[in-house]
Amino acid sequence: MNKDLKSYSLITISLIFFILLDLVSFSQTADQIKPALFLLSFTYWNIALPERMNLFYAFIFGFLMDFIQGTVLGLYPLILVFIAYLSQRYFYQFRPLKFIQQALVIFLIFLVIRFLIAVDLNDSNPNSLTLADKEYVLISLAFAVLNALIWSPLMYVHRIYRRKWIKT
Amino acid sequence: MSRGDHKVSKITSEAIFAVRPITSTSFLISLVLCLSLLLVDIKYKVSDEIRGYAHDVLLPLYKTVQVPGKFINKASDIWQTNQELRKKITSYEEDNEILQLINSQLKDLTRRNQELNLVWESVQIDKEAYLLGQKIKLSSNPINPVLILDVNDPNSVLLVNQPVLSKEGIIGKVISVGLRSVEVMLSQDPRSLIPVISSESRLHAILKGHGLERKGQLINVKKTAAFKKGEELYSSGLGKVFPPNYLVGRVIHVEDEPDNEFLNIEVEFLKLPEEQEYFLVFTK
Repeated sequence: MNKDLKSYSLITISLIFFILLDLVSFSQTADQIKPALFLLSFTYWNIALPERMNLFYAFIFGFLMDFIQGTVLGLYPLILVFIAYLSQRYFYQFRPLKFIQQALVIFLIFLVIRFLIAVDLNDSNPNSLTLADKEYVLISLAFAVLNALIWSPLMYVHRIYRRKWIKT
Repeated sequence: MSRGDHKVSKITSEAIFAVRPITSTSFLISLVLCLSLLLVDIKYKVSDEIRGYAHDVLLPLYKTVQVPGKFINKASDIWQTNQELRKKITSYEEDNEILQLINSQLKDLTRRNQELNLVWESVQIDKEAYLLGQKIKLSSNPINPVLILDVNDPNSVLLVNQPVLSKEGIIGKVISVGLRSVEVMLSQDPRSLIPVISSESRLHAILKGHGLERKGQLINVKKTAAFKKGEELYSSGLGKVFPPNYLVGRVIHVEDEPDNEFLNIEVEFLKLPEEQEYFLVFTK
């Protein structure tokens, strides 16, 4: 098989695998704070193999996420385009950071994503621009912390997978 | 190597083989494209037309995810001893007898109610008006809760705005229809508005959602209205989207705030049973 095609396929398979993991349902509260493994995986591939990731991935998987999450069409592609651009623009700076620093960056990115999703695009609440309440903010903080904590182990898993299967 | 593939160091004049990130131009074009899509979808609700079909395509993914859970359930079932199952069967038989007795009483009550011309729409006992939908997925986003149902009935007439019911009452309405999948907007959704009537004071109002596991609110209720804490809210049938007389929620807090033009009335929605697998789509 063509080397490039093999790499693209393996990256796609890993992303689909993490979408499947994200779809696994627990209790309602646990579902709200469980880490977004797909977004973490997408971030990893953009940082580890920027030459293999392009905006095509952001759009295809963004639409997929929009349908799965029930969000307004275009919201997840927007988020993924931002992640892809920031990751590919600053991956040289991000890679040498300590794990705690990387976790802090991930925490901030995921907190922003969570608040972006809460923007009242349908104007359901005319008095406010956002649908976020106090409870949502607390849940978002827990969500961002969990994502930051799981970043390092997930990065190791991805690294093993990349070194074993994807030759660059 | 073609021009533009690498930069040249100004100090050593050596080539810097840097990977070119996504260019600013392509990033900006993508950004404009995403924002245009967002605006078009917000204004014209284009995605509602295709979401149902998208869920049809994604159905294998949803089903794949359910496989481990089903396998674990099967395994735990096998672990249960035969004796335990027999005990259960005996208790179920006893319960069944009691339920049959209650059912016969209810049938009698229903008959009496019909005779007394109490509110009992004929459609409520029309079995063909309901379609059984299996829960496929409940979106984890608390402020945009979406339920996806699999209605595998080739003769079904599924349409947008059809109400969806649990065993307790109304839980939402269909917002997108596919070949066999439907996307349901739950009553807790901030976009959801349900006309309701209270059980005791018989007052009409509009119930608005505020997100999953959050209290709903009766909007634009005048301060003279006499809603009582604890009374149940039923669908009033106004607007002709939701059928009348189905339980929607319960008033849990009534407050007259001095700086508010209207009463602040909080409502507890019906609990969305996490373990409930099947829901009913009301088709008439």
